[in-house]
Amino acid sequence: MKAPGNLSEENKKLKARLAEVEELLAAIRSGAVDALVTDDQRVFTLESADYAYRVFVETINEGAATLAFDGTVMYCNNRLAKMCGLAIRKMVGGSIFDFILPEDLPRFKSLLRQTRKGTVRAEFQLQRSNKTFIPVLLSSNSLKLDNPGLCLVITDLTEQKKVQLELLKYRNHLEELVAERTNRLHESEQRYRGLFESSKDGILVLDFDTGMIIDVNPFLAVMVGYSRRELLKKHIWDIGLLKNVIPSKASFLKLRETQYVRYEDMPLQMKDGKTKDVEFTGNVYLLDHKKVIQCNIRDITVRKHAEEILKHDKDVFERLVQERTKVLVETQIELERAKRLSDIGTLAATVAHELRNPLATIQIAAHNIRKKMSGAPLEQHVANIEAVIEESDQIINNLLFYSRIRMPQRKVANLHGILTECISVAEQRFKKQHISLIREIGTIKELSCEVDPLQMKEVFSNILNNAYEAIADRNGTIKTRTELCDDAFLKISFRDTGEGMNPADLEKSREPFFTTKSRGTGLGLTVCSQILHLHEGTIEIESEKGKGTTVTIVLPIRKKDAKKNPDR
Amino acid sequence: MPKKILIVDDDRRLCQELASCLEENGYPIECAFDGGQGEELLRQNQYDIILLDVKMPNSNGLDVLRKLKEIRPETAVILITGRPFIEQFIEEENASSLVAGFLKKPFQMEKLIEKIETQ
Repeated sequence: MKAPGNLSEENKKLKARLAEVEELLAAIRSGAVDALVTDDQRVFTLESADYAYRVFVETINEGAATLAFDGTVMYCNNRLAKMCGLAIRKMVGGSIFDFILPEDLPRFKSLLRQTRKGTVRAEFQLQRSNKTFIPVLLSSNSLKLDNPGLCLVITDLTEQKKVQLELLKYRNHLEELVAERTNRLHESEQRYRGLFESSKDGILVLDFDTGMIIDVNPFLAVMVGYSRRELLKKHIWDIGLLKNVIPSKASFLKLRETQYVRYEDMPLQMKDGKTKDVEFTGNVYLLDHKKVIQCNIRDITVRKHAEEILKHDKDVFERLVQERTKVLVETQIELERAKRLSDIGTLAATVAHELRNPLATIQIAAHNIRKKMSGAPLEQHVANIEAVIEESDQIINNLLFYSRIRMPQRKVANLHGILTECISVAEQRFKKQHISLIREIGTIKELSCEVDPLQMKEVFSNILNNAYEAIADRNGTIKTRTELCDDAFLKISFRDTGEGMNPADLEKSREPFFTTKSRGTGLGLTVCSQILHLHEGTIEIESEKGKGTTVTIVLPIRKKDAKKNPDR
Repeated sequence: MPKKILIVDDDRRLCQELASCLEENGYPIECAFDGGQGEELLRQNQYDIILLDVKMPNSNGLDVLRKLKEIRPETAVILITGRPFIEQFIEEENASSLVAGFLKKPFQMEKLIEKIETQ
């Protein structure tokens, strides 16, 4: 505890000290002093005391100013002067309101008022002296001084706004892009969905991992007779649709490895147990980052049916082509033969005429010799001459007939009459041979028929001549027989007991120019075949070597042509 | 009275043999070796029968027939011919009424004489 004497001493000292400080303060206020020297000889000036702040304020990138509450600029830094586009000296003393847009003024004033309560921040447009604008952030603080006012810090937001604008633009662009892509995706999805829903192929989407049916289009559901609900969330092997491809989980796992599978034609099992022929394609692809298997199933029943029809048609056409080709080839052969015949025809007609004249002369000469000769020695020779004349004439006849066979000149003729005449001629011709001719005429005595009488005569004469020549000098019989079959055909057969033919000769017997005779054109049976063919008839030959030959002619007759008269 | 016969045929040997045979049988015979000669003889003389050869297809023998019939329509003409298919030919040529008959070469003389006699 201090003594009172000491206390009063100390009080004196303190009073003196106070007086000293008050004097200093007065000096500072009056500006009489601008520096202090402390006891330890350190000097403090007021200028030096706020120097750092001055530098700071003048170098920051923000505009700074002190204002009176009425908006008068008390102080302004360089940066703000630049922002406003005026010199500092023109700024100080002026009103900050000059740099605020008229429409922003109420808000600005309100800001200033609020500043009394504390720091306030707000964005404004700073109106420069050249009437351009820059976006700024204002921070306002009240200054609690002898002359109270405001401290304003103004940040130029131009760059920031620019960046913001760029960012905004970029964002908008991105948003547009996203919207467009989303739109496209949506459209594509819609399209795919549309295809999926309306496809006329069945489509089945399976989960790659589990083999579960995750989607099925309406067409497939209808095709197999299941509802969509019955198929969804089921394992494909449980439904049994693809019994032939995926009968079990094991087969599914195996199929999965191949990634792609295609069957041109396989049975699809429907709900009712029946099967349908389908074309099946299985494909693996990604759906929403998940592997799925899409199965396309096409009903090929109609196609198969069409293919069958096509195949059938093709077969029919091929057969037709073959048939036509055969006919064509036959026609060609026929034509070639016709051409040959036409050549032969001209030749034959010439030769016939040229040979018949000398034959006629020889025959009349032989006749004259016979009349004039006396005694038998020459008789045999003359007979030989006459016989060969007749043979030669027959050869010429055959040649002519073969080469000049033409469409029959049909007229109503009695076939029995023609046959009888031919038999008589043959009997006369071969009267020296020991052959008995038997006629079996059955119930038909007379038969009128529309035929070419000359051609029929040729047929009968040829067959009879062949029969006589087959028996030759031996004894034998020739049996001619006529009968009516079903009132529609006339059958005439000639049976001889001659030498007959072996099968090889029989086969060739109807070919032109084939003959077993030493003298003959080999045209007789060819002529007969041709004539009967033109009369829509047939000729059959049966023969056995050493036993004889039977030639059977069948001629169609129209019923009105047939006159049966069994009483005659 | 035996029938007087004209033979028209370009085959002289045939004419000779034919004439010889017919003369032997008592018929007066004259021969012509072509159509022109035949027409000439027919204009000068009268015959009961003409034996006419019908020529090859390229020289229509029926032209001669028609001319002879023009000269003497009443004379019977018997065609003797080596021409193939003479029946159709006559029919096609509408010459049936112009001929009294025909014989195809070679023929038997008996048949010719029969035809001559039936005229």
